Amino acid sequence: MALEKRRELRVSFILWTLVFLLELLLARLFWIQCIRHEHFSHLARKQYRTEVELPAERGKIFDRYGRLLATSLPASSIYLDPCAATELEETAKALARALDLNEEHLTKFILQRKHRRFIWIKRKVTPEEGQTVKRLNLAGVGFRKEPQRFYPQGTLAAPLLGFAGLDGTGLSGLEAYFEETLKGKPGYKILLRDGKRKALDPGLPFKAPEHGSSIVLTIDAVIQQIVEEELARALEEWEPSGAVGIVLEPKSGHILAMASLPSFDPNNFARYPENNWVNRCVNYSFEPGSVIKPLIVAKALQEGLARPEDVFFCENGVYRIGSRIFHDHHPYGWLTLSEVVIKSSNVGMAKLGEAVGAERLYACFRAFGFGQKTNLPLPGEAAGILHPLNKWTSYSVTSVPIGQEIAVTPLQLALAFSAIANDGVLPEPRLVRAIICGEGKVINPISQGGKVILEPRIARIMRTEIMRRVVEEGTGSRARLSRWSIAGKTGTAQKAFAGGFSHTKFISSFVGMAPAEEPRAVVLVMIDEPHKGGIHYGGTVAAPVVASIFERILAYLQVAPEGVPLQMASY
Amino acid sequence: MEKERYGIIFSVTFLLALGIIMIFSTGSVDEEGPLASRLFLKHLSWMALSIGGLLAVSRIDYHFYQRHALKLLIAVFILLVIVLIPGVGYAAHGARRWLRAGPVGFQPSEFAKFALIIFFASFLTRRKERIKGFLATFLPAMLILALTAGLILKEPDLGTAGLICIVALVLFFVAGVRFSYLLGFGALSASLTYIILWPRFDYWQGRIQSFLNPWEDPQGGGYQIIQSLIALGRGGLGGVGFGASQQKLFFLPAARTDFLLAILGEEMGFLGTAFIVLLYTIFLYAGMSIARKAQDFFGFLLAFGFTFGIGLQAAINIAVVTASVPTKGLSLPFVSFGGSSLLFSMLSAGILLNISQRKAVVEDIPKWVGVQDVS
Repeated sequence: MALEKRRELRVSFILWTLVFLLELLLARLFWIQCIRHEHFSHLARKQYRTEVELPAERGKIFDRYGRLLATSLPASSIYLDPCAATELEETAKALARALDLNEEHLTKFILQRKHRRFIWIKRKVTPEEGQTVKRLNLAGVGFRKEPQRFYPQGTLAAPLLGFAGLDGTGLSGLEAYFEETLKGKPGYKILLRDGKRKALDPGLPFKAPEHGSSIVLTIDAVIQQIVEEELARALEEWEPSGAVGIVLEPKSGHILAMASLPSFDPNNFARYPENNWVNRCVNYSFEPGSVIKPLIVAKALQEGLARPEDVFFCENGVYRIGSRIFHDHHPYGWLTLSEVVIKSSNVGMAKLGEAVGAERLYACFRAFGFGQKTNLPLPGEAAGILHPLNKWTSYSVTSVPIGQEIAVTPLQLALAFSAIANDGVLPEPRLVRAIICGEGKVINPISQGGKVILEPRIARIMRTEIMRRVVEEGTGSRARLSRWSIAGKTGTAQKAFAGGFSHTKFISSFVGMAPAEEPRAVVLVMIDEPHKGGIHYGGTVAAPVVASIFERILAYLQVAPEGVPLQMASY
Repeated sequence: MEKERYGIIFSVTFLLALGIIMIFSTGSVDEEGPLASRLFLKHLSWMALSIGGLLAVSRIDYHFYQRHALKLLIAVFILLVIVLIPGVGYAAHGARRWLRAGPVGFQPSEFAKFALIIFFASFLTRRKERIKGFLATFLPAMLILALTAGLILKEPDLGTAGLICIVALVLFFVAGVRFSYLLGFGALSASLTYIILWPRFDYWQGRIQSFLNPWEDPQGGGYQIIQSLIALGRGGLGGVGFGASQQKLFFLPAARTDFLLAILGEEMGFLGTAFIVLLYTIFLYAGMSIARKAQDFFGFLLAFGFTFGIGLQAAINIAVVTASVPTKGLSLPFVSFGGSSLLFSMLSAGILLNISQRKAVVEDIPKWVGVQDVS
């Protein structure tokens, strides 16, 4: 019986040990399943649930008549799932060869990420590269469709449009300014994958992407093309460092063309120097020189301080104020105020400036919009320089009227002359005609309307009696048109440096409006540092460009020629 | 012994039922597509065979095995040897464990586990009077055990070999073999194991490492155990619902065999796994009680051996699934998918039922048995 007793003890010992072990395991199960439930659920979700982004289509950019300027087309990007690849190093080598990548870098890059399940190898490859990789048929290598920005018009309006980078984000120009509008909001879908990474039927929350809005510009691609062609011709002829051309519709403030050369191809922006990306129409400002003169005269007429026929003695070309001497290109004696502008006399303008006085000059420039941004939707717009009155010296009243001590952007200048073209109303500049939302709704930006700064009568006098004669009798003779009348003003500014003016670097400009009676367009052309043959006069360099632009765009705009006897009175 | 019989029938029935449910669920995800029926029908066929086996065996007087114990042992040796012959034995996952006849596979090691308990019970009964002897009892028993375990290790099937050794040693222990001998044998085999494993030290170190810290290499060595924990943890208290397991979708390897409990825990939650633990506890109590009240020493040893073997295998399987011990290739008795394992578990249960039906001869009843149970 002692044996039986001991056997019973042994059986009990074994039974209770095993039961105790089972209870321990029960506690362990409770810990895993109930206490760590959240943790493991999270891990489970992480491995079978993937949120896949549904990219939003980037909006397009159109010209005013719906011609496509920027769009997005599907491109193929190549990725690798290192866990699914069989021979990582072999795969890396083959990919490097097929895609023209550095073999050593790629191998290192992949090996460092061999536990990941997704790495980009090369994005937006060419169709040939895509075909080559597809033919290699490598395990773990996949393709993903990505939108690529495409500019079907090539270099046309490139500095204005800007460009989008590899990831589709706008990096300059309108593409950058309207990034939020264009890019839209990506949606997502939730993908469930099994242990072999095969996607399972989702039936799960899904959010469609909100596609980006498209932008309709006021730019007319045809006019833009004309301006760029004419500027390119001038570029060839004068070999300047740059040239800008702006065409404005004075009544509406619509910018029909905004060209800045040298330009670039936004499809391959990285191949061009960064300098070419700049939109010189708004990003640069400079001293305008004589081209500013009509604005001062208009102000003087508006304030009743002078009449066009008032005469000024022009000191035979040399006028001394304190230590400063004004020169005219040709010595003049007595000139009417009109003739001061027509012949672009600095002495005459200096005297007019003294008559108008600092406050009125300052107010005049403020009214025309200098020293302030126009707030066009373009990144990096310069405000120009208009010193506050307390910084003006005693010379300022004579310098400012000839376009010195002030810096303006080409856009500001073209806009200021639109006030003269538009019977005294300074229009609000417009670059965007409409925004078409992803779902098709059209938003038209509200125009604030223009700002009245001159009487219509004064503006008319400026156009038809003074600026028209600049072309007919004065410095702007090369701007003459074959079928239409034109009013304009030349400018030849020495480039300002710290402490003085350059005698070799000039900015030649011409601003014109035609037909002079009722202008359909204001055209400004500025040629920066013309090189060839020491010729730099605005009347010689810039005026012919404006004329060629007008000849073509007035016909395109179907403006009836003037002075053509269309109907004979036969009774 | 009505209560014990009901305990066995109750626990085995529910374990089988849970097994059918879980294999139906995991079988619905097959590599060849959502063709649940193939695996499920295979399991059902084995189950029908096993139930038939259980019913038959429960009607055979268990002393029958005592007479044929030696033949069983010889059969074990023959089968364990031929499974090792390439071309005859069928290998999967780097281990030659199966004998195949068409679609039917058979694991000799499962048979060995079953037959060896019968043999040792018979062997120890014959030597009841010399149970403490070294040469008469201990040494031959150990030689037979070492030979069987060695053949199984050769497959290799470390889990089953280890399980057979532990069950045999515990059987010797309760039969009354000197504890000091067993301790000595334990120490000896431990050092032997160490020497045998030494050449593959890196491999074993890696396995232990991935057990101690599976998160170090979640895609490699730690993968299976992490997936098992994720399955259990995702289940929570009440489970994600029948058929809703995510982990069975090729995340958890061996989801319908050794790691079936993890999927059960995912779909039925802690309530499901706790119920499984409860069923094994009932089985243990009932089986142990049958052993205690057995008619004779052979019946006692047989009942104890089968009960302990199944209980221990279940405990080890649960421990593996909960990452409490390093991974072994052991299935969950009555529940996991696997023909031979199910068949021999059921035959063991059948023998237990037969032992419980034999009334104890009055003088054999130990004093510690309550009188009320004798009827």
